[in-house]
Amino acid sequence: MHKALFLPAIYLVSSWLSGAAWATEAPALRALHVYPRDVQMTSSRDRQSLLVQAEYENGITRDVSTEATWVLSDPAIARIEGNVLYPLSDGTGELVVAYAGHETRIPVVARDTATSLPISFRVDVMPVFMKTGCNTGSCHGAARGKDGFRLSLFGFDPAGDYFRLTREISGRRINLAELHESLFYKKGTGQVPHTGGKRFDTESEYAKILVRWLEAGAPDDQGEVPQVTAVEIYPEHAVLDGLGANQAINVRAKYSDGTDRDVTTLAYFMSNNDNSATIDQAGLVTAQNRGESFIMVRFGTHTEGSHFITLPKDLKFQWQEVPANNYVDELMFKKFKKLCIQPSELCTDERFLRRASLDIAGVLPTVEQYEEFLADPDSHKREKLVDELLSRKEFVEMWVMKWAELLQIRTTREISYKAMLRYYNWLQERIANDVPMDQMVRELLGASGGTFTNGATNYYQNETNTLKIAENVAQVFMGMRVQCAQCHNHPFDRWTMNDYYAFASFFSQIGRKQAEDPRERIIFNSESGEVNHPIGGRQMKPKFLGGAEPDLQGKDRRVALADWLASPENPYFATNLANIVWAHFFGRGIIHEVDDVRISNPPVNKELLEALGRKFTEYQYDFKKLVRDICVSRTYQLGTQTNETNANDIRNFSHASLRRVRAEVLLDIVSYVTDTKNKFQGLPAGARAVQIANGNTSTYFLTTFGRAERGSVCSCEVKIEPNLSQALHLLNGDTVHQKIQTGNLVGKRLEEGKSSEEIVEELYIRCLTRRPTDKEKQELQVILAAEEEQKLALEDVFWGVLNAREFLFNH
Amino acid sequence: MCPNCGSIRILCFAAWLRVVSSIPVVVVCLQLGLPVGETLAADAPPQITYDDHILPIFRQKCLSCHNLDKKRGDLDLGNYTSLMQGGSSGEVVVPGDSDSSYLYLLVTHESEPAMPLDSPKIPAEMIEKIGQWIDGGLLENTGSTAQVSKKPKQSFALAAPSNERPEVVPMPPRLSLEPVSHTPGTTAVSALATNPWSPLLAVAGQRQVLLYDTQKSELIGILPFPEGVAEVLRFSRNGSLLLAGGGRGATSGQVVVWDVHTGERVFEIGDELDTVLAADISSDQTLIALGGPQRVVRVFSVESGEKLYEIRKHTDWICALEFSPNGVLLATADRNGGLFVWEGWTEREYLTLKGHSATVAGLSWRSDSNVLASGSEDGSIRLWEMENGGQIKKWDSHGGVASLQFTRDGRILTCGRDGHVRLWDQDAKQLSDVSGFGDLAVEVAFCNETDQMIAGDWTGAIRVWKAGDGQAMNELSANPPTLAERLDNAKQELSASEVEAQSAAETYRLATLAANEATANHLKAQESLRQLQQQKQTWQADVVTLKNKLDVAANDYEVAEKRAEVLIQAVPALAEAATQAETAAKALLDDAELLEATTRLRQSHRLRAEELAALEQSKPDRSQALSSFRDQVSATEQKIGALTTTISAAEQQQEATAQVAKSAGEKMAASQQTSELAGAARSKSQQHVTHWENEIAFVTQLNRLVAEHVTSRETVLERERGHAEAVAKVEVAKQAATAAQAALTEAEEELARIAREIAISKGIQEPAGSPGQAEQVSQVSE
Repeated sequence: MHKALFLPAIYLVSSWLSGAAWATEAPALRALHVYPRDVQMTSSRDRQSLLVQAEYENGITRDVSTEATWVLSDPAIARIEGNVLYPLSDGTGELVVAYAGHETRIPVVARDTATSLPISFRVDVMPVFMKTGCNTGSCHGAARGKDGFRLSLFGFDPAGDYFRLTREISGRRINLAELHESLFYKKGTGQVPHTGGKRFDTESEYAKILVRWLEAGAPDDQGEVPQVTAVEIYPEHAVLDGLGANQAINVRAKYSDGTDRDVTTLAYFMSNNDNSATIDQAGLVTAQNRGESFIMVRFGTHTEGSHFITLPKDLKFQWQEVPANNYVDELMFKKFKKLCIQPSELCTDERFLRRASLDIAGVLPTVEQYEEFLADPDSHKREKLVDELLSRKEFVEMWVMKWAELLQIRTTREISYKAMLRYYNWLQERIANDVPMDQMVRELLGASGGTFTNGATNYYQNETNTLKIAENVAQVFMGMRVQCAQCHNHPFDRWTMNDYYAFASFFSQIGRKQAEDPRERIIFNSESGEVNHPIGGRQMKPKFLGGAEPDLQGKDRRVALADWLASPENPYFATNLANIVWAHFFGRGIIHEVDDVRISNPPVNKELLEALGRKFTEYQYDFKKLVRDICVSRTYQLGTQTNETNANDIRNFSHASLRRVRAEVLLDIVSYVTDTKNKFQGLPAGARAVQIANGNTSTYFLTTFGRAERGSVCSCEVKIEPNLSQALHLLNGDTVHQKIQTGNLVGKRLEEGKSSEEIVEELYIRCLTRRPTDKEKQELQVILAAEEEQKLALEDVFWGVLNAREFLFNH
Repeated sequence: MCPNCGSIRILCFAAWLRVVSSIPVVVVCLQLGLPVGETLAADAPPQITYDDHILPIFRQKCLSCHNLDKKRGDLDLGNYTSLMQGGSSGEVVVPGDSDSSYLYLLVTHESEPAMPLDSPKIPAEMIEKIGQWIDGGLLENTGSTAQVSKKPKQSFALAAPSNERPEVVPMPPRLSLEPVSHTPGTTAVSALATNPWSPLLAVAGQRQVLLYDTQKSELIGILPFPEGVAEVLRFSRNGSLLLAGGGRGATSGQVVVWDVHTGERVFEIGDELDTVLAADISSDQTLIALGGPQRVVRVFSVESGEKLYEIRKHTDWICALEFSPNGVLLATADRNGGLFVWEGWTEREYLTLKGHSATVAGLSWRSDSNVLASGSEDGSIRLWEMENGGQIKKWDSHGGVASLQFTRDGRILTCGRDGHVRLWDQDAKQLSDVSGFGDLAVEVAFCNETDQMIAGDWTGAIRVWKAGDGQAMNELSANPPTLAERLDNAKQELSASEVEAQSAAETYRLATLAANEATANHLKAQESLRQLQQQKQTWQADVVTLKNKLDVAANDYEVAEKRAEVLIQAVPALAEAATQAETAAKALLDDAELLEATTRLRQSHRLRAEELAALEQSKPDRSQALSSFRDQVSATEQKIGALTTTISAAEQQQEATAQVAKSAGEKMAASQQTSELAGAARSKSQQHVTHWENEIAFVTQLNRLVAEHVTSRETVLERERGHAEAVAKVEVAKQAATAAQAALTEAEEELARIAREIAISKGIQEPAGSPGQAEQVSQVSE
């Protein structure tokens, strides 16, 4: 409203010239953000850089740090140099930042300004190694170091680093007589040949820190060293206007002693999508192509991110209102609006029928179902279809299979066939009886007893290594890959070695003993056994991953863990399962991969994921309801056809994506359409591949199409990437051809006296859930007419349809 | 060949040719393939050659990745031949065309991957040099220029391995004590070594090696090591040579050898791309082995300075190596625990000693060459026999051994991470255990001559202990102050001691005065006491006399009193008697007798009365005399009493003055001593000052002499080079002349042949060629 009065003329002119996004008039300034929101300086060496971000009505943000005016209410406490405040004397005041008629005030506190803190190896020197890349995995952070010198990867072992730097090879890396002769300094500054090249200049802040440390006599830290408790990245989000737009990043670390430090120059910057926005190591983000990126900073063991959107310059976008079926759509559309994306149109009923049948039940609709569904005039027929599919036993089988993958149900050296069957039956009963997920997980993780009597105990037979069990639990139930933290702090997540071993110690007291039957083992709580930290060897007390350190006196640690894990207190459980469910229906998780939840791999739609998790909890962990929410959403029902705005989107679910049908379902539908039966170990003839209990059983077809062997908990076990051997197998292998012959569907139909045309139509509906188009009909007519032996010709058509991508993919 | 000729040479040659031949200079030049203009140019640009200009650039910027050992991209720039072979992407230089040379494009960042990797461009002048070099035709060296070897051949070879006590004790002459560098702080001691046959300790410092006399614990020499820091120091087995291996990390490394007897640097060997961590010279002084972070042990011939062979079996940095005392074997060890023994002369592998799991930091041979000791970061000390390479003893100590040495008599000195220094016998019995370092003990050395254990720690402290009882002796420094500083300090010390001496002398003077005064006082007090005592005696005698007199007076008085009493009674009696007599007489008139008696009575009475009256009259006098004597006595006695008090006070005073006099005397004696000491200190300081002044003068003198020596040597070399060049020029000219002569002869023969042919053709038929041609031919033949 003050726009006309306060916006500088130049800004108005430039906006008009470039043509603002929504209208000819310049977008109004909505807010002026100053980051960080407060300044605290606590030593003579302290300082704080700031940035000012202008947010406009059209969502675009701009870095106006250099254009804004900065005034300090009490100039005696600090001086302003560029965008940095340096303390002068103790006191409090207010920084007033003004730009284009808006004004924002932030408090400034300066204390202990006369105190100069002594230099610390951990607080001051170690971040230099991180920032300048010395301790990365490809350099000295490698397990065996580089060129004879090792640093711990991303600094997980400061004491070891101090030792190696100062005392491993005495007199070489540091030279306290002639400081500038210290090899690590000369290498880093490129004064002598260095495989890693020159990392920083002798005049840089980094070099100065190192020299200051050397001047102090290269001391080790004494006593308690302040730990980084949190890292803040600013701005919290940004929407960049076109290629080349810039935004500076500001990073502040909070320490356990209550102080904070401006670590912008010491933080390591990364972008998870360089195609959309790049960031240099000075912390300047530069917009590239349209898209989203997550700008991350790493400092100490902390990784934090900020969400950046890049839009084309002066994008003209008008949101076309589309109805939302439920909360899924509402949250999706919110995100689409931010990204200036219009979702695709709804898919056809035929498409939806095929898609939902395959996804929910792993089956193709029969001809009758097809006809019935198309003929149904009910406007809610899609919802009816979803409900119908959810009630089928195939739905249960589908999810038993999916869970069997996550729980690795298979025979191993430790798990006999019988035990495996008990395990499978246990799972099947739980899913078939709609046992809530949390209860199932509690039963599973807290399981004790014989592997025959309590099938769930086989979970602990699958994997007997304490650390691996912990890794599997984290990966399956929280979606986290914590393996990295076994040897070093997780490079792209918050997990430290402490977290890892403290979590692993929940599984350190699993007792196993032989039962009467040599194939059976008994799992019990041995009430003894601990996990030690590999560095220093101290005993780790069990601590929930990202949670509290519970009192476990006299309790079964696994039970305590299961209780926490499957409770709303665990922020990851519900969202993780919701994400797994989501990924099943979209071929891609809101966090992708579903078992790669980490700070540096943020969800594409955080609000939606949280909403799904919340709903899941509200539904008492009944995932059938969650599936319904997803399947009735408009988002699930979108067509694959893209429009101008979403053509490049592959992450935000703004259109349906093509997904190859997974191995078991593919075999089942091939068998169904050809009217043939399969025989699998332990199952009656005609059973579906989805029902196979044992991960170790397979057929050539299933293996080729990437059935999970369940050898690990990785979501990558199920392979749906097409490859040449799949194509060749379908074309030349025995499955398709033989099944067409064995099923003799064409022969039977001919015997029934059906015309070729009718048979073709049935084949199309059976396989593709649609009638052939007129063009297809005409072309097929030509082929059929040319062939005397109609059966052969029709079987060729059948073969052709089965080899069509339209059949192999869900769309 | 030709582009290598200097222009002057060509001119000389041309002049010479003019004299000996009529063929124009240009023709000769063309025949020799010389660009005429260039050769005749007065100031040709200096030639850029691989050896002189390009290799140094590569060393500085490229060789860390592209060397013989590493060969990134299969490219080795470390020698000309391999450079010409190129790398995995083919040839990297095209002669005469820098713009087509891949190497040039990479260093100019015109092509990917920009070199050096991840670093800014190398300086423009270096790029320019490389360009000039390529454009100049990729010269390897100055080629045809006569080479006068910069390094005269060395011969230190001994007839046989020398392990015996030499006839002349290897001690250096007087050497400069001027340090090359003196730093404010100190860093870890990087190397220590003791001479096997003299009380001489070598200590590595920053860009210098210090020599200490272990007997006197005194710095006796500083050898400059401008190459960097010595990481290893070794004396040859006979103590006559001192080796220092070291350099600068990731930059350069070499071994430098000094003659201990002369203190002169005699030669350098090795040209590593990183510092040298281990080096040794064989006991016959023919071989030098060295190794370092490049993982290769290189063995050089001392005589020629040439590399004889390389050992490439180690998988990590070479951390220790030592030739056996008999000169037959060479033990080498690395940072990965690898330990091998080789036949030193044949480079054949002799033994692999397996056991260490971490850096082998120390190797040492027993003097009989039959046992090798090794100490490792894995905390173990192991002894190996050399028949089969069996491990004959192993024990753990220090939690990581940093250095180890066999003594001459077969004890083993070790130090390590725990900061302790321990001496063992070969059965692992601990003979001595000393500590006192605040940090890791990193280097040890044992002085066999003085039986001292010497060790240095991470902070740069160096301590010395007696081997027998482990008694701490003194501390040495790897970072001595400069002579100027020392002189300054000595001067300051001198002026301080002068002030001290002066003030001490003053104190002494004052103390003397005070003492004298106190003595005088004391004497005075004594005298007055004596006088008082004398007075008292006098008075006491007086009292005795007076008392005697008093007694006499009293007696007199008494007697008179008694007489008076008698008289008082007698006089009336007499008077009465007289009266009676008179009466009687009267009565008896004329009784003469009676009258006479009466007269006698009267006379007697009168006499007696007179006597009484006299007595009566003299009584006051007597009484007065008596009381006066009495008074005198009492007065004198009172005086004596007072005097006694005075005397006792005087006695006290006398005692006090005696005390004062005594202490003053003591003080005087003390201050005399102090003053004498201060005087001694002053003269000592004076000596120091003189000493350091001397040293500085010595260094100045030394430097001047060295400079003169270098200059004269250079002059000689220059002359030699000039001579050799002249000889070479003459040789070249001779060859060219011979060639020209040959060409001339050939041409003449050709002419003769043609003439013959012409003649023949003439003989057969009429002349067919043009008259001009015939003319020309005839002209030439003339």
